[in-house]
Amino acid sequence: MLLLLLLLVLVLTPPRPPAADPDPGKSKSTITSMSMSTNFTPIMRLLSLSLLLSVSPSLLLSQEAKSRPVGYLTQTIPAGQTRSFSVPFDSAVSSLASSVGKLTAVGTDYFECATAAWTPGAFSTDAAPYFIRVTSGSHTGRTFRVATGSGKANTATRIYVIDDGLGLASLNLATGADGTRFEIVPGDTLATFFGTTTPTDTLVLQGSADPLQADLVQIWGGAAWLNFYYNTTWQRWARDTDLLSDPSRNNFLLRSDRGLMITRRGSTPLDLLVAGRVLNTPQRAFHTRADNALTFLATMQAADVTLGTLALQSNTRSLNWQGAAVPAHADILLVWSGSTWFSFYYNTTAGQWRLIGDPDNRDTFLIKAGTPVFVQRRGTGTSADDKTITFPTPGT
Amino acid sequence: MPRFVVPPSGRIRADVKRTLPTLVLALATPAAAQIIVELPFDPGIPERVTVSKSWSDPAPTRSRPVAAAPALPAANIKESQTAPSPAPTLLLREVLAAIVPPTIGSISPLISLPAHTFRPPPTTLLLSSFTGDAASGAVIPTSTWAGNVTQNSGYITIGGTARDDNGWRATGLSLDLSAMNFITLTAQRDPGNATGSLFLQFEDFNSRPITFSLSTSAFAVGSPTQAQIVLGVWSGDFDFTHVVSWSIGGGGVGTNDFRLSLHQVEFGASAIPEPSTSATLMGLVALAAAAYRRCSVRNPGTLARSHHCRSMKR
Repeated sequence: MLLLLLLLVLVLTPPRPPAADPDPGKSKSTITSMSMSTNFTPIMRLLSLSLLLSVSPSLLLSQEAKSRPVGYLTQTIPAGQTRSFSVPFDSAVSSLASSVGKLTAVGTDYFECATAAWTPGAFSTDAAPYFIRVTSGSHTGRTFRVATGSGKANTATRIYVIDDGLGLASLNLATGADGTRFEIVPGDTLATFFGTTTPTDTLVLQGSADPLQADLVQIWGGAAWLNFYYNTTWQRWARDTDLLSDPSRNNFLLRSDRGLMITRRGSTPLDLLVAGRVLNTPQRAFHTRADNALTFLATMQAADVTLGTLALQSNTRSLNWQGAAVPAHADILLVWSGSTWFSFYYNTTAGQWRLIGDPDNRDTFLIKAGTPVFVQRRGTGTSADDKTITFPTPGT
Repeated sequence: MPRFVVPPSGRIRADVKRTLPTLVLALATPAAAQIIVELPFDPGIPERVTVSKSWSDPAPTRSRPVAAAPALPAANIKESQTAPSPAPTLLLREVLAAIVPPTIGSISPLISLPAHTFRPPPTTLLLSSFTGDAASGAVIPTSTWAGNVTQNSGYITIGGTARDDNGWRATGLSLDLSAMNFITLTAQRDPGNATGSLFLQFEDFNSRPITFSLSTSAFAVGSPTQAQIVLGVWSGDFDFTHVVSWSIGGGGVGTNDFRLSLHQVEFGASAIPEPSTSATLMGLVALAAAAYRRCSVRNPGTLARSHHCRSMKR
């Protein structure tokens, strides 16, 4: 019993906090702990392993002692410039009750967990959004937004989600005793992520009464940007077209599976450090499959990755990614260079990624950690697989 | 100038068959300024009446401006699907609400009820006729369209160095699109276009976006063509009853040349028949009319023809 207690203490030891960034001027990604056990010495690790093996199999099955690697990333937006940005980490699992569990039922717009004891409405507010990440089964790595608004408040055992048109029921998520595992993860809004000027908060960007003087946050709306800034006179987030009479944009949701653009209008560089749990599963992201539609996706890669490694042309990453001999007929991947968009396509004749207008092999083109990418698909797709891009598990 | 008189008190009554056409005529008259209506409140009359009027004159003395319809900006609503006009379409209830003092006993309870109780859904809603007025939208100053849009009579041409980003938008709207099922776009492709799709992005009151698109190949090169988008089911969290802004363009980030002339964007509750369908229908009507005419000839000497018609009827 004492040994088990020791084991429990070791397993539950919190990870080390992120170290201070020694060189904030550069984009940097650091995985501080590949697992909780990296805090242990090798001898202790062996001891832990032997203890784990010595306990009964039934106890092993009943425990969920897995932990995800944690990391942090500093991204810098130079003064006067625009950068693409995304957070390649998950937040910690919600501290609210029953934030991890198994699905017992799936409806057209909800998940149920019969054993959950959720506080009704706790996950369904605009000011404090949540996501559900699927952590087992064939859809591991998918995330769903928890719905808010009238009639969508979660109950003790049911939580309403938005499926982006995937068709929740059609996903055939396992339910019951061997149901699909999930975790509920807090999301962010403009106010929770970038802050405000309220006395208990800190605004991390430059605000202004004039949208042309404030740092700009651009969020892709599917066909055009939605431009936001913090209005210091109104003391709230606003769109660049807003009037005083328009509603506050403080609660505008920042989707964790999407990227955004930040334009630094301040006179100094802006360093944004984000920390969180590195994915230990592939990231399965919904993307729009209307002909030529662009979707701005967070790749969730905590380290730099090449186009060749990303390998979106592979059928393990996407269904029927369209390569071609000429870019006019190919699906496109766009990466922000800092001043323009680089457009890549998969050249089927050469079997390599190429920059449009350039005959060189770009398989080794590096996409920095935290850099989101646009994907533009030719033709339409209707099934859930058609609408899914699978990014590789970080570190694989 | 036609005048309609509202009785100072009591139940309003009149011959609606006589009054309504006159009202429509009056409102269609450009100079009509003061509208005082005498109308019955007969439940048997159709509630929806379409009237069009340019309100350039001083406000009527006994009414508030009828152009200030509460939920649907009147400037964005039109009646005709084939003859675009910036003139507003008004509901009879709105006309009454505008011109009848709410103190009139038999009218005020009706007017005070929520708008959705009595407002039949409009059949069309003109989003933009690209005429240059504010309601039709404007170039987004930060887009690649800035300086590359030519305003013509009733349409715009995008050329120069314009790219495929959405470069035209309208804001500050309040549109209820819940009754709408189609978007009809009238546009033409111009030489040099390299943008594959035309995208419309709408944003609701909470800035939640939704997009619709269709291939630019749906528009002929060099001549205006009408094409439709079927809206289908609105996205789960998009509030289609309160749309505040929209934009149009190639839906991209400025990587391809955009060369289109945009004439009109309009919502509709029902599909506009294809020209070929219309022609077929008209042909069938003509055939039926001809057959009817043949069968209705009352010449007793044409026994064979009558027999033939009876056979047809059987």
